[in-house]
Amino acid sequence: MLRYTLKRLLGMIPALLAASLLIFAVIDLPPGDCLSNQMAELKSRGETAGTERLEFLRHEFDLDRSFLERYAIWMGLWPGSRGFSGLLQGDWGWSFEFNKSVASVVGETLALTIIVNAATVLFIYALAFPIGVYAATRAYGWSDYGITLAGYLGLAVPNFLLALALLYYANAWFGTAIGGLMAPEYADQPWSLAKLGSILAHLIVPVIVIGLSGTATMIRRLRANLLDELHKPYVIAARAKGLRERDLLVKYPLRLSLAPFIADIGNLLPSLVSGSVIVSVVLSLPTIGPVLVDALRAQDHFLSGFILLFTAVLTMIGMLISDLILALVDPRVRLGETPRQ
Amino acid sequence: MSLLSIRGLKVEFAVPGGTIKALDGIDLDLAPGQTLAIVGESGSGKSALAQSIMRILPANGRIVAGGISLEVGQGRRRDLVRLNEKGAALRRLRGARMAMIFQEPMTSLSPVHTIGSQIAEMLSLHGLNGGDAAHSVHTILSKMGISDPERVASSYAFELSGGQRQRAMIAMALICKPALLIADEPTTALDVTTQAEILALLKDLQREFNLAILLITHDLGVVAQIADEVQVLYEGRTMERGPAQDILDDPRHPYTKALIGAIPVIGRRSTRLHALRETKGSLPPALHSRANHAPPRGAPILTLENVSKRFALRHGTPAHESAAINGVTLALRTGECLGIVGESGSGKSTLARLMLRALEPDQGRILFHRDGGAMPLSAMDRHAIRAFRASIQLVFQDPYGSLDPRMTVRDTLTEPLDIHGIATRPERIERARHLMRAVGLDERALGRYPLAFSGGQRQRIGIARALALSPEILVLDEPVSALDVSVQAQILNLLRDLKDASNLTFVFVSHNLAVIDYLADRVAVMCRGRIVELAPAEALFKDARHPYTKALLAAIPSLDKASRIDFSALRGGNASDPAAWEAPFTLLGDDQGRLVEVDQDHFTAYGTS
Repeated sequence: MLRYTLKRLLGMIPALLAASLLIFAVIDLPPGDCLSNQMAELKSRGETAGTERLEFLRHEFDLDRSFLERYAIWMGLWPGSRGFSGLLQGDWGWSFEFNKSVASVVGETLALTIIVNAATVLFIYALAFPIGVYAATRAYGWSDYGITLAGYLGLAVPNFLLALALLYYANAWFGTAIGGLMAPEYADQPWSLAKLGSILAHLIVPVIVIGLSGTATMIRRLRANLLDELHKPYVIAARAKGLRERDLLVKYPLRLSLAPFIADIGNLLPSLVSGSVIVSVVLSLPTIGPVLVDALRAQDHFLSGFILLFTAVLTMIGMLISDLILALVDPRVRLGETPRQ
Repeated sequence: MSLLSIRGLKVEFAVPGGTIKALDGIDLDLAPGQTLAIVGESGSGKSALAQSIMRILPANGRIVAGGISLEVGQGRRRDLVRLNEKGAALRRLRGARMAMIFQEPMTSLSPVHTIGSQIAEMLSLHGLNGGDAAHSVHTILSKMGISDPERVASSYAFELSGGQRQRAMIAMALICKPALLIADEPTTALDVTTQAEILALLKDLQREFNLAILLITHDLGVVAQIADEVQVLYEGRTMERGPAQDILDDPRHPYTKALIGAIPVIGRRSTRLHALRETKGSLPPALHSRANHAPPRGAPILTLENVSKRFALRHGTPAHESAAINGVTLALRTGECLGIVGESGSGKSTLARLMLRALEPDQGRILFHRDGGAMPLSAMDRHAIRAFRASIQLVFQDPYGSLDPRMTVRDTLTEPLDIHGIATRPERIERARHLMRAVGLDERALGRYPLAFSGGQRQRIGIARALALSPEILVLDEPVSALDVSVQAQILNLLRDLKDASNLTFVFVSHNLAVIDYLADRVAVMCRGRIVELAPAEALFKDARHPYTKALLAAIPSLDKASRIDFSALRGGNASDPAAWEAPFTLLGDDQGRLVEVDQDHFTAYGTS
C-alpha cells in the first residue's frame, strides 16, 4: 500500500509538469500581454509618462524573453532577472491587472474557495448517498420514481437561475441579502470565531445552489451502480447464508457499488472550481472563479496561469485521493489484479 | 421420514406481457444422507426449484401453490412456503439447517472480503462463534482437502484456483452443519479433473455429516457418479423419477431416453447422437464454389514449428511472464478434424488464435500451405493476409456475444463476402440462402435479428457466417460448451455432416473429451502450453500413454455407475503438474519436451532433461 502511494505520488510529478507547460502555452497563445495592452492604451491617449515604468516591468518580469525561458522562470526552474523566483520557490508571480502580487490577490479567495467546495462535496455526498441507496432498494416503486423526478428537476434547473430565485425569495421573505460569503463587517477583519460563524451561515445557500445538480447526478449514478450489484450471484449467496437484508446490503453490494462513486471525487473537485463561476458572480461570492474570468480577460498571465495550475493540482489530488480510497476498499486494486468481467 | 418433502409446488415468473410457469406441480422427497439429482435442460425449472426451497427467488418470481416441508430438528417440521421471505424464522434456517452452493464460485464469493471472513460470518450469523472462529475456519477448510488453510483463509477469491474457490464455498455452506445441501450445478464451471475431486469430496462429506444433497445438474455423468435418486424435469414438470442407476440404464420416459441419447459418450462415436428436435441441414453443392487452392487430402495445410507465445501477467514486470504456448510443433492435415483438448489455462485457445494469426508467436513460425508452396504467416503482405483470412474462419464459443444484435442475419452472412468483394449483391443473398439451408435454418428468417433466435440457432448462424467465404480451415473454439445437451447434439451432428460432405479442415477446441471423440480424427492433448500427447482419436481413447491424458480420461464421470471415477489416476490433484509426471514424462521448469512416436502416428511428450 505504501509502495502504491509512493508510486502514485511520483507519477504526479511528470503529470504536473506537462499540465503546467500546457497551461502556460495556452494562456500565451493570444498575441500580446497585459502590459503591452496597457501600453497601447496609454499611447492611444498620447500619454508617455507611464510607458517607461511599463518597459521596466516588462524587463523585471522577463516578459521580453522567449516562451520556454518565460515558462522556466515562471516555474522557478531558470533564473530570471530577479534570480530563481518562481512557483517552486513559492513566488506565485505578479498580477498586473490588480497591481498586487498573485498571492495577495488570491490569498483569502483561495481559502474561501476551498471552504465552499469542501462544503459542497460534503453536502453532495451526505445527501446523495442515503437517497441513492434508498432509491435502488426500492427500485421501480413510487418512491423511486419520485426521487428520479426530483433528480431530473435538480439536473434541469440552471443553478444560476436557482441562485437568482433564492436571492429574491430570501429578500422577499426574510428581508436578508444572501450574497457574499460573510457579513460585510467581517470582510477585511482577521479570522475569528464570529467571522467563521458568519461564513457558515452564508454558506448554506451557495452550497445548495452549486451542489444540487451534482447531487442529482450522484443519486442517479449510485442507484444504477447498486442496482447492477443487487442481482449479482454473491448477493444471492449471502442471502442464502441467512444474512439480514439490511446488513447484507451494507456489507456486500453497497461496498462494491462505491467504486465508481469514489472515482468521481477526482472529477468533482476541479469542476466545482470552474463550474461555479456564474453562481459566484450572481451571488457575489469571493471565490476564485470570477477572479479567473477577470484575469483571462485582461491577459494577466501570472494570475490566470496560477489559478489554472491550482485547478490542475486540485484535479490530481482528487484523483490521488480516489485512487487511494479505491485501493483501500477493493483488494483487487490493491493487489494489482484487474477485476474480471 | 424424509428431511425435505415438496408437494404440488408451482412457481411463476412475471415477465413483460404475462407470466411464465417455471414449476408446474412438483412433488419431491429427500431423506437424510441421500442424494437426489434434479436433471433438466435450461428452462426446465431446476434452478427455480432450488431457489424456491431457499426462498431466494428473484423479485419477479412467486410461489403460487404447494408446500415445502423441511424437518427443522427434533422431528418438528416447517412449511417454508408459509414463512416470510425476509423474516427471522427463515433466516435462522438458511445457512444453518439448509445451505446452498452455486455454479460460479468466483462470482458467488464476495470479491472484497477474505475467504476466512466470509466463512466466519456464517458462524456469527448463526450464533456459533463461541469458540475460536479462526480455528473453526481453518479446521473446516482442511477438511475440504485444502492443504494450507491459513493462507486460503486470508486470501481473496480471485487469488485462488477454481477448485479451491468451490472448496471454500462448500466449507462456508457446511460450517454450520446443515442437514440439507442444495448444490446448483456445483461442478459445471470446473475442469474435469477438479470436478472429479469435488464430487469425491461431496460424497465423503455426505457420509461424515449425514448430509442430504439436492443436486441440480444437466450432466448425467455427474448424476451417475453421485446420485442415489434422479428426478428429470422438463418445462416445470417431473418427467420421470426413481433410483439413479435404473433411470440411466433403462429410461422409460421418451424425454429421458432422448436426453440420454443426446450425450456423446467416449468410444461410441459411430452411433449418431440423438438430438431432441432434430433439424436437418441440407448441404448445398455450392458450398465450394471458390477455386480450391488447398493441398491434397492428408497433406499439411498449416504447420506450426516450435511455436511459443508468452503473456506478461502484469504490466512492466517481465519476470511475471507465463508461457501460454511453449514450443508447440504440429501439422494440420487437409481434410482432417483435429481436436485440441485441455483444461482451462492449458493454452488451447491461444493455440487456435495463433493459427488464425490473431496473435503473433514470440518464437517459431507458422506456415500456410497452398498451391504447392508454403508461406510463413509472419511474412505475409496485406494481400496475402486477406487471402489467408478468407481461407481460415472461426466459430466462437458464445453464440450471444459473437453476433451483432443490430445486424440482420442476411447482413451477418453477406458481410464477409462484401468485405472480400466476392459476388454481386443478389448472388450474395442467394449464397446466404444456401448457407441457411446448410445449417438447417429456415431461409425465410434471413431478415430477422439475432434476438429472435435461440442459443443453438445463433450458433448455427455463427457457423454459417464462418462458411460464407468457403474457407479451407474452420477453427471452432468451444462451439458447444455454452449449449444445452440436446442443442449440443444438434450442432455436433451438423458439424459432422459438414465434415463428411466437404473437404473442410477442422480445428476443434474443447475441454470435453467426449465431444472431441465424437468429431475428431486426431486429438492433441494440451497441458501447460505443451502438447503432451498427439494421436488418432481411437488410439488416444483406447490406449492413452501419457499420465495427464490418463488422468483426464479417468476423471470423466461415466454414465455407467459401475465404472466409478478412478481417483488413483487423478494423482491427488497433481495430474496437471508437469514436474510430478513420472519419467520419462517429467518436464521440469520450462522444458518444452519432445514428441516421441510411440506407436504409428501416436506421439507423447518426453522430458529432455
